[in-house]
Amino acid sequence: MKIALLSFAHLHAAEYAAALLRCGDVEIGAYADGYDGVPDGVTAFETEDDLWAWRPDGVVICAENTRHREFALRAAAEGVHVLCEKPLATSLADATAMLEAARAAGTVLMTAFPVRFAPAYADLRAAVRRGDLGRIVSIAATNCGGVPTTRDWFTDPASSGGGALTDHVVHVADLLADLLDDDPIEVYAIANSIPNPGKAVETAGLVSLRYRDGVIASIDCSWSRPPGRPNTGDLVTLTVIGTEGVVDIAPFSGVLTGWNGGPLAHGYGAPLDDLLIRAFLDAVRDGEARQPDARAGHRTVALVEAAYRSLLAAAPVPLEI
Amino acid sequence: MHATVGLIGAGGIANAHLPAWLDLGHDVVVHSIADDAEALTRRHGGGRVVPSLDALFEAADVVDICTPTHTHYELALAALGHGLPTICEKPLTRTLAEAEDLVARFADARVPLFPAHVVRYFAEYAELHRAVTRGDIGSVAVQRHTRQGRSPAGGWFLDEALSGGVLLDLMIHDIDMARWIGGEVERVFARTHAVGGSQSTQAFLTHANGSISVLTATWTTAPIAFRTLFEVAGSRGLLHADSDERRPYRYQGDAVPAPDILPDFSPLTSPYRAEIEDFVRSVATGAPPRVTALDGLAAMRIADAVARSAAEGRPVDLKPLEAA
Repeated sequence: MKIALLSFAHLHAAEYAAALLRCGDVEIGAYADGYDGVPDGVTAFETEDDLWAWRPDGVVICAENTRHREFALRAAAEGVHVLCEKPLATSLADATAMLEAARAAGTVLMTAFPVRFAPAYADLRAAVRRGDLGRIVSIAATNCGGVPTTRDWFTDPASSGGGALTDHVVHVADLLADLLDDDPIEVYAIANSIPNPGKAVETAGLVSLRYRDGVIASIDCSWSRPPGRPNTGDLVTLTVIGTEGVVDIAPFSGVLTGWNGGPLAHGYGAPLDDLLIRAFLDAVRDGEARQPDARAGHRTVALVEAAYRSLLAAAPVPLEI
Repeated sequence: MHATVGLIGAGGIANAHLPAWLDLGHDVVVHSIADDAEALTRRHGGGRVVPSLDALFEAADVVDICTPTHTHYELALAALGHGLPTICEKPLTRTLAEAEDLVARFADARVPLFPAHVVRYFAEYAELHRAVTRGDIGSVAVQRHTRQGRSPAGGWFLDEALSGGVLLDLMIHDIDMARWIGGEVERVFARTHAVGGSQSTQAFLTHANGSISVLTATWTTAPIAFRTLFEVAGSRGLLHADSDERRPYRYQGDAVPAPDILPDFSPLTSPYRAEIEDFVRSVATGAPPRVTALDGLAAMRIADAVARSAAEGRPVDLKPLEAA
């Protein structure tokens, strides 16, 4: 099987390359698109056309957010399966075009939400399905990090589509959609650019959701971690309040902490990228999408777009899919 | 200053206030319309039960109102009628109109009124305020405050009309805290969801300085431990505390712990003693306490906006509070 990485704009490209290398039995190609980070063992192509001429079975798109559409449409035209870095797109129109192109071409389109593979999330999902929590009352979610600094495009709206709301809402939005098996009906958002200031995009954001059965949820998606802050294992958290039980998950809480003249913090959590890549390889093998699929990416793009509409309106807005 | 305190009510929070008054060396007279005052004074080894409110006002130098929320307004007015400095358990009153009227009347009469927003005296929250004021995190950007516990077993707490529900019981603390840390609030958006005896309210605050806050208050019928946590992010730093972490004492075993409505705190830094000490010092010196009547009123204005926003499904704008 031949899998190609399409652009190394996103740092996750190197992580997916490493996961692909660990899978063995996969030929790996890459078109870096001017970025560094292509590891040994990966065939680097000079041009995008060279990559397509190589006839990959699947591509992993790690381009700048606003270019996902262009690459995904080309892949569909080439009859190639796609795993696309999140967010799937920076507008609902783009996401819809990508989804429809894959559907028309009969190709797989999946969205890179590795947290979906976290054992802590699987346990939460099972507990909710078993009824251990009773009826769900509310959910509070966080996905807070620092401002991405290793690639400048993250804070250039023309390439990223936006700041913290674009970057950090979709992971937990995907978990909520899967957990509740529903989309919110109404979205409210507030934001500012106070943390890690001096950027052209919002660096703090809060999103409030309401579901048709009355469940309420909040998402803190802020890039509020100052540079150099050691990993405290709280990259993603969910607190689910039920009438009979409460569950807190922190899928990245596995951190070895210590001190050697400065703080030590080494994450040792589950290899979620490997699980995501394996799911994609399975999908490429039989042409059947695995979760998280195109719809998973599409519905989270709809939520982010609603959040930006709410910011402009300074009012809650209905979710439109 | 040594005082005789007229403690009204002998229920939950009186069990925090009475030992604090006794610890500080004050005399306490207690009156309760429920038949629980004798048990309270016996439990804490001090205080003298008096048979009527009149007897209490007759003996008292200051009044401490520890009764159900819906009775605060009338009792505080009665204390004001006797010209007595008054500490009133939070929320100040059941309704915003009552709070506005009460604060205006105490101010007009120049009698001290102290809303017992005790969280400002909890050590981790006091330290948070010191650190933010010192500039440890730069400008405040995002605050996240959470307060959750088991639904009250019954009684007036579960009657929204009497207590104001989880909003006025739990969230009022974090409303005051978010305003103390992030400044005046200009806009409020909130959602609430109740299922049987469980209820969550999530409120988003937009502060005048552009910072934003999310407050989450929950009562659940699930058997959970009481928990408070906050994270405050600034332009160049982050502060965090969680009552679930760094516990100085943790018991595991078969013994059944005595029921306790109070969150854990160190006796060395008892927040109830600290707030009462601050109130007494303020009455004696005329210097403002850490939390003023206007702070209590501001918290009620925001809480009222939270209730209206949740009911109407839209953001509610707050006009600047006029200095009284």
